[in-house]
Amino acid sequence: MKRNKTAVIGLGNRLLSDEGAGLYAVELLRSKLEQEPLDPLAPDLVEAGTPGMNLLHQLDERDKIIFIDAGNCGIAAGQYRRFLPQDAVSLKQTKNYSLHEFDLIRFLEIAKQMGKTTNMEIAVYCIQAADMSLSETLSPVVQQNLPNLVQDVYNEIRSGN
Amino acid sequence: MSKNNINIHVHHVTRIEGHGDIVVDAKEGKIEKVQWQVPEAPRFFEAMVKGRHFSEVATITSRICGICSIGHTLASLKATEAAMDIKISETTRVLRELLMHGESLQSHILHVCYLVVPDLLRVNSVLPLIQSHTDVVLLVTKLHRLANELCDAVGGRTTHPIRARVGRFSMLPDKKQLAEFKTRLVESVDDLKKLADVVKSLAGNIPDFTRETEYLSLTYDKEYAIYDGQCITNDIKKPIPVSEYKGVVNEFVVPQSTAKYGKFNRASFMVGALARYNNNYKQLSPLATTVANMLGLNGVNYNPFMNNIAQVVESVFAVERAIAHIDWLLNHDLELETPEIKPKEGKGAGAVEVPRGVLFHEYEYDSKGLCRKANCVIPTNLNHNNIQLDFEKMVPEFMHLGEKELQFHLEMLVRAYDPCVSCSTHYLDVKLKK
Repeated sequence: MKRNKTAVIGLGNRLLSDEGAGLYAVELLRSKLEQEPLDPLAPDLVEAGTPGMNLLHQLDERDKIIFIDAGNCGIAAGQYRRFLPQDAVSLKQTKNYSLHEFDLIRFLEIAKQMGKTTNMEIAVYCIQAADMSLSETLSPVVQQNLPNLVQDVYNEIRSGN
Repeated sequence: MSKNNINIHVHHVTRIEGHGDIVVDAKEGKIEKVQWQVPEAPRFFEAMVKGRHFSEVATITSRICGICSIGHTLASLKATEAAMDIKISETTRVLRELLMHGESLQSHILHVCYLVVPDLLRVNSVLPLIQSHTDVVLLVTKLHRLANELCDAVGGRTTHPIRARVGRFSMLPDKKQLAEFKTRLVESVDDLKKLADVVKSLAGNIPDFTRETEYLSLTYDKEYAIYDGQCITNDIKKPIPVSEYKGVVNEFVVPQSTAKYGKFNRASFMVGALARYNNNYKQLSPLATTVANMLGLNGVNYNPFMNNIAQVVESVFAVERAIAHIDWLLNHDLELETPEIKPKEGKGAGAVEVPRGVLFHEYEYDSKGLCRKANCVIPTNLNHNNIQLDFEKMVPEFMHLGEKELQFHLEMLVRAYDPCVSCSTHYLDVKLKK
């Protein structure tokens, strides 16, 4: 199946409250884009969940990818930041490679070593989680700010930046 | 430390799915303890489906595993269909087999290339190989992607398929899409040959260890059994119907493990790619046989490490069969089926060969189609006993290498079985003393 050159990829787990924010964000973005006339150049919207190394397969044939993920990026709960992978350092402690050991920044380093992201534009939107407990609902602060994040992603897609 | 004193406590073995521990204690050359332990908590899937409608059961039990979720779905559907005497069409059967081969390819490639090859190269993980063997890693990710997308196209999702339903498929792949997959699968044969060459170059690092055991798999008179078949082992002559699986697996509990063990005619048995190969290798396709011979599998083999070689062979077989199934689908009119399914009281078992071995599901339904009782027997469970007995033979044979090397070989042995431990932790049927 032919892919669109741009993709917005949400990461996370809906069962762990704010950890699922990336998936909810893609869902919101989909609703927003569906209200507009069908655009063949619209980005592929991918709710990747917790894909591990399978995320490598999403990189092929792309020019630009926007990742949305919840995490700890050192800001107030519910706030979010857009950054480039090279501007972030992973603090996650891992011992050995396992299918359960994964974080986006380290993954992107691996993908770069493999030549999978050459000439690709990558941006990461990270929203600061407030609650990562077992729950299928977002915390109030993340719920409140997620539409703003989605609007920024939408603007970025539409402006072609 | 003297080589006669061994104190290995691996908490938990890496590069496997789930948690398993290795304990070996020896003093003055005398082995005091050798254990493969499974400490994971039970997951109660059989309890979750009680009271659920038959149409929901496969969706739930599919979640037992994130790797062989297709196999769980299909074993579950087959068990429900057996319980209610539901027949499926040839199209549904072919689509299900296509899904099975997609899953085999996906899982085998992942396991052999990401988790086993690092052992053969004596590195901690696949990560160093990205720089040292970039072309191979890219080849592997290409094959892995193909397998995932094939499962996605047929099952509606890469894992936990949503289109495979009781008695039917809820949506069919279109022929244009299938034709594209055929092209990619045909092209992938060359990639698999390259991969086989890589594995051949590393095959000299496979430990020289054998222990003859009982090999349990499905067998099917029409082809190398993956989707259909009856139970067979090298110790019996007549296949046993899947409905009598309990008399084959004979599950039991041991204090060191939260997962059940199994045995049949010997102290233990092995399931998985090597068991399938040993029981059914004469039915492999010509190319798969050529690859098997090239990699040192020339008939029945008693080295459990060769399970990974059998996985490579089955990857080739999966691609060949997937091409054949797509050809069948392209040459037939595909119509969405909407059979009327009336719930019926009954009990039935279903089995398929998932990447890690034969998988059994069994359900009992009431007249409304609500599940009264469920039993899922997971292949990783069935291998724990064999791993334990392999350990008991391996430790005295390898302890002269010293603690570090012994630990490496024991961990490598566990990984050779491709265990999926989270799946295998199982409802315990126990009586409490107080």
